[in-house]
Amino acid sequence: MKYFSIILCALVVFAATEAQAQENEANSASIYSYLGLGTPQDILSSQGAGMAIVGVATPDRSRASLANPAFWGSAYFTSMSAGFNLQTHDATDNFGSSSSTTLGFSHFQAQFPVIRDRLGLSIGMYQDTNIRYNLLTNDSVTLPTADSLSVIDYQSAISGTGGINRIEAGFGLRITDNFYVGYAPSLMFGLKEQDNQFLFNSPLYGPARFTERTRYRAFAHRFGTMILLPNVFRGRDQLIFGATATLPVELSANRRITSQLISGNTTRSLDLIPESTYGNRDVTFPFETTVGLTYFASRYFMVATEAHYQQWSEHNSFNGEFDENMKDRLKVGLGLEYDVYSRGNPGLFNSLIYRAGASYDDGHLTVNNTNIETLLFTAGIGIPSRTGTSSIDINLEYGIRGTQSNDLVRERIFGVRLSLNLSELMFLQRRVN
Amino acid sequence: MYTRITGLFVVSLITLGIISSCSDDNNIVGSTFIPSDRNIIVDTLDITNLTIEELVTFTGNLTYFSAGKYQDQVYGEVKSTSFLAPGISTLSPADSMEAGAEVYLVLEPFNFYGDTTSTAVFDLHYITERWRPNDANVNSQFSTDPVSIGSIEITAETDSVLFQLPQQWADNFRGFFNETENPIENLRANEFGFALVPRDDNNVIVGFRTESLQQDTLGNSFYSGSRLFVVNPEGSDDDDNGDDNGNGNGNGESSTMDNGNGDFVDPFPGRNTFSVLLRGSAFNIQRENTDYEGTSLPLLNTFEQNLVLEMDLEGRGLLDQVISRAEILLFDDLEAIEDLPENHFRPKSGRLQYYTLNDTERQFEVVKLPVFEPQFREGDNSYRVNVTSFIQNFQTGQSTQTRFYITSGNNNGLILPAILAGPESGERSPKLIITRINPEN
Repeated sequence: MKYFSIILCALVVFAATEAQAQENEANSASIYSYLGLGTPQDILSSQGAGMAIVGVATPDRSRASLANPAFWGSAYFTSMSAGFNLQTHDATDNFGSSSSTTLGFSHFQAQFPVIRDRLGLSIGMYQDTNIRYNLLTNDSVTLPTADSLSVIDYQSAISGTGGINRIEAGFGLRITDNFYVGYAPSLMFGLKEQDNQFLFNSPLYGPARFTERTRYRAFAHRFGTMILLPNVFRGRDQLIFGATATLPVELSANRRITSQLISGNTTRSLDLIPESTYGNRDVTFPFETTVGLTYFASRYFMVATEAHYQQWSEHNSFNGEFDENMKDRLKVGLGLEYDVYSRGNPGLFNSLIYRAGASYDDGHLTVNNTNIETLLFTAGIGIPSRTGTSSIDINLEYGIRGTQSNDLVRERIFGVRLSLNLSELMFLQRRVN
Repeated sequence: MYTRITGLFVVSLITLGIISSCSDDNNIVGSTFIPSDRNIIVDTLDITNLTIEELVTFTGNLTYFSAGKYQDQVYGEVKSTSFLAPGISTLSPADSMEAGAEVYLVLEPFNFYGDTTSTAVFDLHYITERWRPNDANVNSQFSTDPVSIGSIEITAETDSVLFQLPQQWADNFRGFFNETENPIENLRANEFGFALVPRDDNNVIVGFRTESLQQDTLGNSFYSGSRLFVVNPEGSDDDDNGDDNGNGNGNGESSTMDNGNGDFVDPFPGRNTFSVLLRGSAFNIQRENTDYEGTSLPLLNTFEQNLVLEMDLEGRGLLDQVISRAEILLFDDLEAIEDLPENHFRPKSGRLQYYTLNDTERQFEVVKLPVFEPQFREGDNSYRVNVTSFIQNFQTGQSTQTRFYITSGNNNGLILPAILAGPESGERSPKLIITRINPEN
């Protein structure tokens, strides 16, 4: 019942944030989400979020994690996790600056041990990419007026919302004591809704508005493996190797363009180009793989490094052409965690888990012959429950994306990620003496 | 423990929400991402799907009525006969006709179409059948007494005409006028009025005003326009000037009704006079030799010559476009308009009227209001009409009309031609200018 109420709470908040995403003037996230399928989202575990990595080699029995399907084979508790994030993007280019803050859902997961520490199942939902931008430009155009041709100023506003999401169900299996594998098929679905508005500085010309709405869906397959190497350098240390791979998929894409006609106080919708005109098209969502190595120096301290690769150069647009702005993406990260809580010492600061990390992302975009790179620093704390099975993770992040050179936009990213992790022993027959 | 964790989580979430809601979003960066050619496209489309179609509308009880005959080199021979029905309404209920009272038909010309130096001569005939002014249209023909009761001459200098009606008719009319029980119905059943028939050698069509209530500079009300005018005999009880005054010599000759300043000059000083409104007016139009072979588009405001303009939105691929402005441009054909003999004149209304008519409405007399009334523009001799909303209504399925029926102005009883440049007129040919945004950028 407790699970149910919390899941319900999470879904309500998720629904609210999704509803906000449907509004045409939604707050903007990264300006660069205008291009391609949006900005890739790599946060799949609350632990990894504090260490600037995905976390494919950082298993944690007390927390559900989407980072690596192989983890689910080590599941001991029935766990649930839900995450939200608050991000502020301060964007600057050669013409001005802007600031925008968004609150969004990042993930939800429920993990069930079928055979404890042997076979586990997981269902989850998370974002692959995020689209949320507002672009505004002032321009002029020569148009016919009553007496002649005149230069008419106009304002063009483009706002986009959406992203690619994934509902995933899978299992993890321990093959040997130190070797785990996992498989997670998923339904990828998403939407890119771009609203275009034109306002002319002339009473002769009415406002024009149209919305391009593209739906995506596909089945995807993700594989994971984890190898535990205990006592590598000394007793009670452990080296963990983890890797995941997601096969490239052809997203089935359908597009329609509608227009909103404003007449007095009423707005009427017009189906300009229905989906049947475009037909069903394939958009390639690229292959991606993440390889990580984590060293547990002790049960309290670990350091993890990771490389994340996405083959965005293979992405083709809705029109069937390779997007000239896309390139392969490589992100490398290094993070560490210090689990003071497990030492069992009294005091507030001794009851927390500390994390920090940094990552460099060479970006999946090349605009004006410039890679859109991201440098990200994170720091976070975990607040475990008294039993240690549940926790709240609060992670802060600061990053810099892009550059002002070559007429581009530099973004400073301030973020807070909040994750609720609940775990308990379920389906355990209690014995009363 | 769950309570503490969950409580902390919810508090944190609310905090994030508050921070988020306090933020502003004013993204003005990233303009370089937006393609500079945002596909704002201006299409100048020639309208070639144009035909002239004849429709019918009512001509009764309009603001004016027309009578005359004119040989127009574009419109052919245009001949119009007016029909006037007497009434009994006066300004004052106390007005009465004395025995021997004279009745005059007052006609006030308003405009002239044709040879403005010629004299229009009309024969006045009794109408011999009952008719309803409200039902009359351009094709109406009412039987008349072949014997004329007199003639009226009008020139461009004529301000008004008083024609004395036969005394026998005046005496009959007096009987109805003074009747206390159901006088209007008895008048309608027995006195059918007069037809103003142009003689064949006329070369001008005159538009006449119907009556209207006016006030002079002293604030006194009076009727002007075409009407009946009663002059009681000398020595009648009420010997003052009555409610209003006419002007004229009472012999069917033209004379001025005013002194040039808008004040009335009493044509019958010392006599008790008053105006009686006509119960209705109407006119018909007969045209012959209408085989115009020019490339122009001759229109009439009487629905006899409508320009049927088909926008062909579907064929032009405009249904899936985001239209910011759509404008139809029609131009006067200056060459055809100015190609008139010296002193000949075609009046014009200074506007066009755009109608949308379904099949049923076209089968009967057109009684609709226009959807657009573009004014004539002096600068380029054009008529421009913004049809953006009209096209958008078609796009959204709120309208199925893509066709306009265009007349040369308000059907007000005058004959007001307009000659527009046709599809072969180069820059002055009919155009549809669309400013749109191509959504497939």
